Amino acid sequence: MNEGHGVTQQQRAEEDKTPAAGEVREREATDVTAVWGAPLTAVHCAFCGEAHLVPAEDIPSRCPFCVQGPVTPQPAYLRDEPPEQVVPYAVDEGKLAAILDRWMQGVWFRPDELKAPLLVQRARRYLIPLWLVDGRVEGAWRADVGFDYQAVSYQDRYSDGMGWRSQEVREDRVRWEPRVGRINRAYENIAAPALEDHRKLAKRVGDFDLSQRAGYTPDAVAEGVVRLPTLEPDDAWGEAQEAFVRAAGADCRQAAGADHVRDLRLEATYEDLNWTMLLLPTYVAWYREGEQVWPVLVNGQSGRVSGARRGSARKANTTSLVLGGIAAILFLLGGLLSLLGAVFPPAVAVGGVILVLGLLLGMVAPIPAISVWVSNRRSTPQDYI
Amino acid sequence: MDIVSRPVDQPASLWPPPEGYIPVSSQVDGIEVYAPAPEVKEDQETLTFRCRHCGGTISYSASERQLTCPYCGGSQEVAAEEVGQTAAEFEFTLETMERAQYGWGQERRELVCESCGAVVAAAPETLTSTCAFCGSNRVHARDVTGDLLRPTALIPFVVDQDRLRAQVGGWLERGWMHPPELRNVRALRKLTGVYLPFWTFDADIHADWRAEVGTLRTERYRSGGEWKTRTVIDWRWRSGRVRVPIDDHLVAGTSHVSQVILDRVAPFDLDELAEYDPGYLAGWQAKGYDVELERAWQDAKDEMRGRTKKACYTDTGSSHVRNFRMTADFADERWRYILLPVYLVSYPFEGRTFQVMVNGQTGKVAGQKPVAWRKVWLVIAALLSPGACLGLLGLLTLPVGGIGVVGLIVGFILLVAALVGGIVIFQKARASEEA
Repeated sequence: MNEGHGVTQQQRAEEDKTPAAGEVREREATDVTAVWGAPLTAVHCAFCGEAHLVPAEDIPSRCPFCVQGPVTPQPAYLRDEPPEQVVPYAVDEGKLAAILDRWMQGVWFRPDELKAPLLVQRARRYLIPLWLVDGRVEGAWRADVGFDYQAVSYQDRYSDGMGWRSQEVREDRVRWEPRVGRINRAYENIAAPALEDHRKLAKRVGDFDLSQRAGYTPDAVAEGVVRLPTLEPDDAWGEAQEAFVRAAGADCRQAAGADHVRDLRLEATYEDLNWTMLLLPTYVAWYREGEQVWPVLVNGQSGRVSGARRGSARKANTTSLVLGGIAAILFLLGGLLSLLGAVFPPAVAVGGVILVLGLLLGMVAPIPAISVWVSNRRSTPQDYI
Repeated sequence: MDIVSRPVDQPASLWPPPEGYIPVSSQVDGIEVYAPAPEVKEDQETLTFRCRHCGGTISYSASERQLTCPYCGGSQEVAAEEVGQTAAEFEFTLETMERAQYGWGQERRELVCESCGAVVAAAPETLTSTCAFCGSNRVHARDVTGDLLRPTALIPFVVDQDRLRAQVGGWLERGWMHPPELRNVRALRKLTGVYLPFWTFDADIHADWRAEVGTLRTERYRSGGEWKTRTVIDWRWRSGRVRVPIDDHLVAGTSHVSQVILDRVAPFDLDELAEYDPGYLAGWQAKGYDVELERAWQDAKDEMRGRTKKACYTDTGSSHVRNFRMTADFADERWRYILLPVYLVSYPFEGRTFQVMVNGQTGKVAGQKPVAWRKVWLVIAALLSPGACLGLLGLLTLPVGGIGVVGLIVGFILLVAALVGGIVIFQKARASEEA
């Protein structure tokens, strides 16, 4: 049976398990250790609401992602098969230290915990799930395809006394032509998000090169944390379908021998869909500034870092107070010496210089506190969860 | 992108392809591609026009606007449609030049004039001819070389030759400054209809100008104890932007006809352009271009620059402009190769050759006419003499109580007026002979 978006092999298997009318069946929790081959257990964070698979022997006290809320064990309802593939880590702990060090350059009045070695020590492997879909697209398509060409144009200049000077300009243009056709083509590993906040995460840590994939082994998740999917294949089908259309559009452009494609219309069925899971590599670390805990997320393939670069308000304020105090002392001293000048005239000059120094220092004193306050107020911990 | 998913038992609205689409090669397995079929003109192969009824050679009739057989009276419509100024235009790309079709699409011979070098395509059975450009009889035929671009459009002949003879005769007899023997010139009775090549160019020009613009101001000043007024110019830097759209700027594609006379028989109404069809050339001569596209474009650009500069000067709003400079950006440049109908005849008179042209669309006549210079000088002398004589008389009678002053002044006025008139007559006479 073909229901427009196709029927997957898993769905056919699930049909056998569909309860009869009136019958209520409880969904069985997945034995993650048996399915995934690694000793993992599921936990849930009350603060950020996310669920994770963590090592069963080392359940963290705080959420491995937001590092804020406590976690509670919960049953995991997963597919009966483990992930098929993972993208291996290209950034090891050694490179991570250098990356984090570069990332925190330029932060004024760094908090005591904002140090690369400490962050590396706290960094934990954090794997993000992604659906990969195989399927066959069969149907008809219509689009405008564009062919690049160059046209010769001119820009002429005139001035009294110099006359005309002509400059030839090459312009890149596109010639659009209509094309129609049929498509019957299989696509493999079309990516679709398995998390509701996948776009937000991708915006933070950037894209991953999915061509660098390896087969899943239990070692890939050992000592790491895996975010549990929040989108089932049915929920992710909309985005998957868009990805299929994009892939088909690119192929139609190539089939037509064109350089561009626009206004693609595709009337197709999607058959033989097969959903598998891919795990994407990241690191999560954290540091404390004041009362707050700040998470830092690092792309385990490209090394891109996402996190708040906060200065220590305590240190900045202390520095400003000290500078202000010195300024006040200099100001007073300068004032006294200036008054002394009534009796001992040379003291006026000295007093004046000290007065000016005090004034200048007094103007500069608030800068550390203000600059750290301004840069810190731009971000909140929620921006990084 | 539209994403439409449908159950397989419902037919797709995108399939089958629209009419006129043909399969083309696909560079990806599993994907079929259909594209609009290229236009295939019936005249892809060279054709010889024969009457369907009697097999005689047919030709295009200007009066009947179709192909007619002079032997049996049979007729045949020309397939092409009137497209006006929407006739196909091309951009200046190398690819366009390569894609342009070659040849006339019709079996033709070329007639080469050994005197002036003009090359004209004519019907296959033409053996000999008098050159329509210089009137020479030293014309030989040769096979078509086929390395010319095919015109995209043309204006068919509308004015019939028979009607023209009377018109040309009337034009010849007009004007007092021409010899009366002109009406007896027999060569003028044979007008040759020739399709002349032209290039049309379009461009959208955006020009930025900057200049010092002067505004006049009257001011009072004190000099030598009294107040005087004078006019001064206040100079200020100004700038502006002007857009000059150029549509169908015409440049002749041949240097074998007089540009002066060609300008005089203009304009042509390009709204009556028809898609090129070899049928229109049946029985007529056609001149291939000898002014290449690039040269014609340079000429057109020079004129477009001039127009743009003039538009910028107008935009300044003042006649006092200095340190003027401008930048003209050309955009959307397009060209077209067309044929326009002209009747040509060259005739000898008193050892010189003169050229006459008639606009084959409007019937406007222009050309060179010999001038009877003796008559012209006599007329000019007659115009000048009253003023000269009166002036002389005034001069002679000056000592007698001052009466001569009146005569001198009136004579001077008459002389100046006669001089102006004489110059006008002289210029008209010279223009009449010039080509």
